[in-house]
Amino acid sequence: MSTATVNNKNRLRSAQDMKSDAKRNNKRRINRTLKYALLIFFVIIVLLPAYVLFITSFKGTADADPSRAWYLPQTWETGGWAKAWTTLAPSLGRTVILVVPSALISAFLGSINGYVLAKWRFPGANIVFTLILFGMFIPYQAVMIPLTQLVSDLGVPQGIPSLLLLHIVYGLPICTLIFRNYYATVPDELIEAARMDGAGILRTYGSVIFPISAPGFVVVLIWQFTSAWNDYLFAAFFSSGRNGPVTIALSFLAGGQLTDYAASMAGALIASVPTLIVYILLGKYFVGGLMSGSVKG
Amino acid sequence: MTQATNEVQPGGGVVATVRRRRKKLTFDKVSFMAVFLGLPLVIYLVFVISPFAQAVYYSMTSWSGFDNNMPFVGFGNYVKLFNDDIFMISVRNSVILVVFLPVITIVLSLVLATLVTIGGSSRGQIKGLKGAGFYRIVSFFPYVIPAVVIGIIWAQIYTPSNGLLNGILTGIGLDGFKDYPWLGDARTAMVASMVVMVWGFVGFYMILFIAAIKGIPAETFEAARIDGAGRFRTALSITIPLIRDNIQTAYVYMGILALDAFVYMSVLNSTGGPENSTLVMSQKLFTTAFSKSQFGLACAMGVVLAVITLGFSALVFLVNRITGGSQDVGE
Repeated sequence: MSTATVNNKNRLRSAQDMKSDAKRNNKRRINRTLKYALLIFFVIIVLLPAYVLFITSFKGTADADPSRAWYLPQTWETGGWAKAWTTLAPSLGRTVILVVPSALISAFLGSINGYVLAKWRFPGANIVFTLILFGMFIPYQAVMIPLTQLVSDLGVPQGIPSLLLLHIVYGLPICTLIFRNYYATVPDELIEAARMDGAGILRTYGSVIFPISAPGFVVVLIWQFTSAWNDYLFAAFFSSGRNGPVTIALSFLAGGQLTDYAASMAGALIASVPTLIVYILLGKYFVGGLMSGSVKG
Repeated sequence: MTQATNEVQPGGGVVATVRRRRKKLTFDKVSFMAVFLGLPLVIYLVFVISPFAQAVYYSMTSWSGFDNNMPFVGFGNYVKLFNDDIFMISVRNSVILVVFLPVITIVLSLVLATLVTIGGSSRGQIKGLKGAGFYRIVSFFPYVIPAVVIGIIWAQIYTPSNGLLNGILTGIGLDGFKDYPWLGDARTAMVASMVVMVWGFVGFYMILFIAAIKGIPAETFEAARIDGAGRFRTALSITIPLIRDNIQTAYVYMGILALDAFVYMSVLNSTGGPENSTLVMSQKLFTTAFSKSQFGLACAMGVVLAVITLGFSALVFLVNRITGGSQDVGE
């Protein structure tokens, strides 16, 4: 349709200028209305469940029945929040202790591995790279059973220590890949120059590569933080309600025989707040970094 | 990676020095690699690759998981699996998911991303739209909340007697849907479950595609517009080819997610749904191992799942390359 409009504009410029202008304005208005209608529909679809989460969390026990899920609370109560907080608080602490170091360590290791793979040719580099890709594509369920044995044979305690180790190891492939592609865009001259000046490989990394890695680190840290925070599979295999992260505690809170809806919804919101904050603050950089040649895979 | 070397080509001497230096393995370099590449690699081999190799071995035993008695049965487990109707149903369901889920999610998020970025004024500068930050937060929301929570909310929406969906449908006069069990009827359970996963990921991929589309120079769109291409045409022959690598990434990630789908499926229908219509391989694996304690058989399922996942990823890369995609993972 707009083909016609463009042609009109070229051919019949003077004669129909006014008319086509009016037509175009009209069409623009319709288009814009349609566009916003679609977007608003999308927002409603996304936010409706969020609305239920929010209002249910403020309901009393009798009020928080599924049959009344869509109505506002009869009285706004905070009992659900209190219960969720006391239930989840210990596991929230454990999750922070788990997620922050695991994100930092795997990001740092990924950065060095990515640097070596991107900038240093060495025999077997392709084999290493293929192995790393393989790790990204195997379904975790396929390795879970031998892995539980291995971890217990090594004497790593259940709960946070096991999970810390596993999140770092299983985070390595994606971190390495992201950094490898990120460093591929760094000009070789930069590294050459540092080497000419007599900097060794460690020095080059520390004084040339690391300082320009901020965009890569933002992407990797957010990615690792979210996936470790929301992980359920590893947590289910390697921890219990007593020593596990918040997702496990939440599943006990929400999945029991007598589900306390208010408490489980409040718990869900509490569990989502940290990642939501991370995305609100850093989302812009995350998306930018993710697309600037980092995850082209 | 070599472009930098090419640039200094005229001063050939530099290139030569670079090459010579590269070949020399200094102590500095070797020790660095040993510590910072070798060590993580060894850990990685121990914790990722070797468990997989072990899983392959266990899959050829009839190990129960509770003792060290592992009678070797060769390919017996695999034969058993392919004759197990319920397992084959779970394979079928997983394949349905991996075919439809990525396509639906990606098409929807592409449409939305196109609307947001170039659906603006068709005159002058091509514009985005107001409140982009707000849309970003809204779009990230489903991605950020734990999958368990998503499952719980949607189970409520689908509740037959008083869920939101049936409330709306009967509200607009479709009385046939009164008390209709979306998750309890074999005809709709799978579709309803897919809707949940699409809901969880459309926003995230929309954001990624928006970023990718914004990376395309405005002049490209301008040129297409001057050549008389309409919006639909522009999206089809300019936008999609230019962001095809991003689409490929999204496709692979969504596909891997679809082949897992464990959390969503278990929360929505813990036992595999009516007539096993939502039973997926990962669920079947889990119950085989931990409810029936047939660890050997479960490992065989894991291997089949891994083969399907790797095959799927290879297929996507292959298709992208055959149809003219410029890059593979490594580049």
